[in-house]
Amino acid sequence: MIKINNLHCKVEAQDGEEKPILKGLSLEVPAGEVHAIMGPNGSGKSTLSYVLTGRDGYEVTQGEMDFSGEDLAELEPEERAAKGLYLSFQYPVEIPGVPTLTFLKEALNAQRTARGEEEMSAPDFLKLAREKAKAIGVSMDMLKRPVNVGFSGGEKKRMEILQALILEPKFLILDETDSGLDIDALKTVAEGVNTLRADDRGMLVITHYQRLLDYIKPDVVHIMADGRIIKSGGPELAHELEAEGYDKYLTEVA
Amino acid sequence: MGVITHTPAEQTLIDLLDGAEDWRAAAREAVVKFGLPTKRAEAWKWSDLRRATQGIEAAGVAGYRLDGSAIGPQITLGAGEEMMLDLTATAGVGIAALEIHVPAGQTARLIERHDLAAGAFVTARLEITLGEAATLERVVISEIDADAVGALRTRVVVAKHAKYRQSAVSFGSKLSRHETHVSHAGEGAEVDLGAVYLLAEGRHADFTSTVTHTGAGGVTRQLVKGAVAAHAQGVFQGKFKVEQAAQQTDAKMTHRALMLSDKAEIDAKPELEIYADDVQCAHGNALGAIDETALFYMRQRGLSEAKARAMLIESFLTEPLMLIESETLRERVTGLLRVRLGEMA
Amino acid sequence: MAAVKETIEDVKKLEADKYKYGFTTDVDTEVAPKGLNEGIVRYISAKKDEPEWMLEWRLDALKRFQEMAEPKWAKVDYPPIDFQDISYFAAPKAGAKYESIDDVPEEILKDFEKLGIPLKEQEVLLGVKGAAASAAEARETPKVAVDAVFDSVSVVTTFKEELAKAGVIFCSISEAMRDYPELVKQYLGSVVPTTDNYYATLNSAVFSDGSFVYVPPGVRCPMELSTYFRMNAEGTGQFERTLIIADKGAYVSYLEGCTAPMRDENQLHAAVVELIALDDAEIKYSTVQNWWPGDENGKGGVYNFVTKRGDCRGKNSKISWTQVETGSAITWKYPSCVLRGENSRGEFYSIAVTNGRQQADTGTKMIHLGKGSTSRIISKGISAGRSDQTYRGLVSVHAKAEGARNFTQCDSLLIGDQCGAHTVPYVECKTPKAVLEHEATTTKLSEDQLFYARQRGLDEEAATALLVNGFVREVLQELPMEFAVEAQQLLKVSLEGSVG
Repeated sequence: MIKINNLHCKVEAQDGEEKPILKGLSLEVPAGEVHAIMGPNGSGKSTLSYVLTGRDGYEVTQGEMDFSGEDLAELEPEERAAKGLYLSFQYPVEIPGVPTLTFLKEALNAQRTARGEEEMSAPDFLKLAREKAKAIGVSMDMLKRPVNVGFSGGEKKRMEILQALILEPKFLILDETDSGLDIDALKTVAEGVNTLRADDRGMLVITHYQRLLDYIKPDVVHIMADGRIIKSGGPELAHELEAEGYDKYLTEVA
Repeated sequence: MGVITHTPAEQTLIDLLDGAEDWRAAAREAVVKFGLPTKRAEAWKWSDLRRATQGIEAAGVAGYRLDGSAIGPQITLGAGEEMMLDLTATAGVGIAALEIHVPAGQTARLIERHDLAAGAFVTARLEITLGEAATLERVVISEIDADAVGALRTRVVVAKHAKYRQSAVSFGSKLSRHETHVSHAGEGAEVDLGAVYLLAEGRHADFTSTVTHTGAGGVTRQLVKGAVAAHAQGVFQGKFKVEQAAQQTDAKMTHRALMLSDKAEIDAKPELEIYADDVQCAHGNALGAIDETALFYMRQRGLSEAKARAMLIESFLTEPLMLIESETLRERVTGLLRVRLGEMA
Repeated sequence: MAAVKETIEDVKKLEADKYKYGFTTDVDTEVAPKGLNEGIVRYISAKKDEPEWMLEWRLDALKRFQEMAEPKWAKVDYPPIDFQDISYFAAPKAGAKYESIDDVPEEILKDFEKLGIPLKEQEVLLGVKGAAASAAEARETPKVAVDAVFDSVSVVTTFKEELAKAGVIFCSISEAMRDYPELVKQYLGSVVPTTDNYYATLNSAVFSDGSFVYVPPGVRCPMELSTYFRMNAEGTGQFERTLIIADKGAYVSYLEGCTAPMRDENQLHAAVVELIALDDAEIKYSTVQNWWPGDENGKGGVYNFVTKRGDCRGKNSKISWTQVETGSAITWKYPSCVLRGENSRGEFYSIAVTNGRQQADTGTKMIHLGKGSTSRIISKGISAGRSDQTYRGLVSVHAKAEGARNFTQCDSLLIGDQCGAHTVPYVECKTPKAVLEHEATTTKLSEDQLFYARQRGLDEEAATALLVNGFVREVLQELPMEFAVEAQQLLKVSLEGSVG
């Protein structure tokens, strides 16, 4: 489903200086599988999520990113979204003045149009939103408020998953979805994610801690350091990491 | 200082005002002596009226109409009336003036539309007085020809316990100056000034205002938002003056604007002049481009860049329009904004 | 600088009441005849033994000045100045410059001592702790090199030799003209042109002395440099000129202090300060301005019309202005930064206190020309008594200054209902790739906080001082340590009698 080969990427910082962050990252996530990427701060995890979804300032200098047989690098962010690539942001963005429902309806229909599907009518959309919101415990009242404005950290993350439930993407990248969540909120969010698990859908779960992986069980765990995958293994790798810390793997790199 | 050579527009204005009385006489004298204001005049440093009126020569016809009919120099509104006030002008130099009075305790709504033809230069003056505990809502929709020049000045006297609420939207022109000068008596009186400017390529709009608090306990809220395309210029000059007697004044002024592309220009001067110590006065000014992070977030969800941009600009600009009481009217004005945004995309 | 040792009680004991620097020094002074004309300009130039090009420069400025009109846009009000009734040059009679510190007349040394300026190098080394301090302590006390300007003449510059070792030139501008004419010629007037504005033009014609600093490439100036200005002679004006150049990668921190005796008539001060920062250089310029503000009825006091401008000429250069303005009857002053270099940075931190009948119109200009240039403005104004204070600022971003950023915060505090506080910011932006934010508030001291402090036992004056210190803390933090202490005391003294 997603194939990344020897990916190099540099990022333009605030001061205009360019820094290489990804240094030859390779990774393959087939449909139906959930992969986790773990790594210390600054290893390039968030950069990977942005470069896959096409954020400005993240420049691929070498290597390939292939999504269901298509080269991602050439596509605009919204084209990637329409193809089914979804990023649950580490820090969901506040958009004052734009009600969440309006935003989602516009987004869903833009994606459908791009895929050559028919637009969803307003009543159908409302029905869909109501159903999915109920499933993840979000009130319709919240959906009428501007996107992410005034929401708590937990509410924002829940809203990210709700958006995924409504947009039904083919591939999800969950960037530090567990950060800022208490255990109850974490469970709710994980439940939402688990309902999205399907044979034709892949997932990449980026996390610093093993905790989230107790609730979203990965098929494969990768350890990332200094812009590369340095070790891959089964779910037991996450537990190993939790027990022993990153240092062991970092010294292996050095 | 030598004698100035008048431009044709100035000469026509002087002739039109020949033999006039009151403010017209003073205006004529000022034009005779100094000409129309240029950017060298402090209050006009970002709106050069003399330059903008070059090429305008003959006299035109300008005037106010109320609910479609011609009106005298003074009108009284009240008893919950909603009136449509139109300022229209043909090409050439025109003058329009009107006095509006809302008696004590009365409530009224005024919807004002500006329709100036190409080549028009209108200097207009509106004098509004609100009696004690009167309420007036004024909604101004300024859609004038790109090639028209408007110097539109409104003076509002707000008595104690009165409420004045103004929402203005301007799409600019060669030069569009919207001046509002409020004398605020305080003592429970409230003034709300909201304004929006959306300027397509090459247009200019200038919102200049002063609110003078003369009595204690007055409340003023001002929110002006704008978005400006290439070679367009947005100007905001706001001033709150709080006189010594106006203790416990609570006044807040905010101007925020988006620069939509290169060669856009925004100039701002949010001013406070305070002579009373027990006050809460604040102003904020923020200029920048569209939030790139929000733009990316929206595109990640599948919206096209153009669509995401339009949504962000619209939601940014409509905030001051929340002031408009009637939902239908608010929707209508928002609709106008949306159409213009569509044209600009 | 560590100038203030006295407690408030000591200050009160001084005959000068609230203005503790209001003594005059009894030295023989040579004062030029009053009046502004070509003759006086030639006299000043000759007194200072200047090269011909300098005289030409001055005469040109004088000619232009005579054609100019006094600016009227500032929100200050004062009777017209009779420029013919001012003496443009005053110097202690013993001669313009002293070979060594021992030659400086005892009275002047005593005067500076009263001001708390440790002039003698020995004293400086030992800081304020006196001779009893141990050698170890002495080493830890920061050194400050001082250029002291008395009326029109720089009387002594300390630490010259030690600075010379580092390659730093620190001397009076008259000496610089003689010893480093190429540097002066290259940079003088390159930031503030001769005819920049009315008072800068006047200064260009008649400036008498001031400080000159050159820090060579890559050098971090080993100590704080400082100038102390004092007006003493009656009926004189002071027109000093300061020029500071930080070459590539250099750093210098410069402190400026000013006082004047109490006099019934107004004294005119029109200085020009030019700063130039080349690539990766940084200049930090701090001022504590405490010119005589005049008495309660507005009689006397200094008219302070000053042009200060820094040019961030090189990439990544930085100029930071910090000012504490408590003195002068009239202040007209806008320390500015021209942010020409890519990624250059300008900062302006200001505390201005006006009391009595003082009027201040002060602020800054940040002109963004270079890509990625950033600026920050923090201004705290306190108006008390019957004073009037205006913050006037300009942030201008040119079309080419992509990535420019400015943040401005202007807060005004009013103490009493007879004063005024005004904010007049100008913002001009010509690129969408800039972010400019401005916030301003005008409030009075919180009754709740005052009561809280008083309930805990502080009297009203002490409580006010405490809260005012809190109000200005953000700016005080920017001052070098020794200056911050002095500034805090100064605030306290300046606000005395403003409550109750």
